[in-house]
Amino acid sequence: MTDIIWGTVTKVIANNKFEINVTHRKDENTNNYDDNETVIFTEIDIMSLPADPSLRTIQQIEDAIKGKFIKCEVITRCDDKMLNCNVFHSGAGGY
Amino acid sequence: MAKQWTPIYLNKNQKFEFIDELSSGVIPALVVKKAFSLEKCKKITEKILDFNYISSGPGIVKKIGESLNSFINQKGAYFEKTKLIDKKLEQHFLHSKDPRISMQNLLSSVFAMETRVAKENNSNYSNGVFRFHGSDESFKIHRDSAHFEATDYNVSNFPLQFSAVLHLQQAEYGGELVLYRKSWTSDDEKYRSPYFGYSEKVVNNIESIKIKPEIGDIVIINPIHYHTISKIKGTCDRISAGFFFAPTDEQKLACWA
Repeated sequence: MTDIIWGTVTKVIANNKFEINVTHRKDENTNNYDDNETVIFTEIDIMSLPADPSLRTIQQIEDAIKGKFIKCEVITRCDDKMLNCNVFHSGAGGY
Repeated sequence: MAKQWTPIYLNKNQKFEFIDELSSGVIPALVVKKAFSLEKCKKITEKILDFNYISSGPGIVKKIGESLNSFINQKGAYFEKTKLIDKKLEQHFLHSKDPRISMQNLLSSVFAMETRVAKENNSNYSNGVFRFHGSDESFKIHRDSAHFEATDYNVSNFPLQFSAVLHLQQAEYGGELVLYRKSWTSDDEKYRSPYFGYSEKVVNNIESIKIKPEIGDIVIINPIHYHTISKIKGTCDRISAGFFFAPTDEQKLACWA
């Protein structure tokens, strides 16, 4: 089973990398996650972003996810401690 | 001491001139009393209970009609499904008028502004959603903000939004609207729940009011204020019809769900 964490994006570092304030962790997670993690993403399901990762800019990533509550499915933790994740929009704060 | 926070009550023939105060939260809610007659609400309820296209979405187990929050990243699907379901509802209410359209007409009168469903690239947004809230459910504290949450949709360009909810059937016990004297800010995202709404911590020690609408009442709020529904007991679902609306640059009201 994939580990999942949720939280708000606090800082976009590159067009495939951001910092997240982790507020929720799936109960069945195998590994532990700090309150603040750095995520490198391979897939992201945000509609406004270009499908081709090479066309994405930091500004576009910021507009799309900075301050937003997202879900990260953890693929692996890299040697440099960063998390390699698939990133998804998560639920809704209202109707 | 802070001023008392109490709703304004109007009848459906009166005009409401304090939209800025409703927007800012000085006035927590506008309740249009007996906007629809008891008999009319009973007929609408019977009709909607006979409609087969029931779905669920974030924060709602049973609903009829589409809403943006089920399609945050599927804009094409939202407009396709909205077209399908609103066409079916139009046919279903062919001889008795879709109550969501009647609500739009009533808002035109109350706010003295023409009200129309919002459009994007010639596609109509949803006219509204019928929601069923039952006794076995718990309701999350939430706020509604297309401006923050639905940024890929044109309605997110409206800086403020209101919600209008017509109460068609009451629960036997509970089912009040609980409205908190606190507006959402982006800092509150840390209190988000993974699937819908927020932790109760977001309204810790915040003043709240309860509004118990009667059948036929329309309750209008600025839904950026946190709100929820009190626990329902009994065999009857709380049934309502609702949508969001916003003033446009053309001094009209655009609505969507």
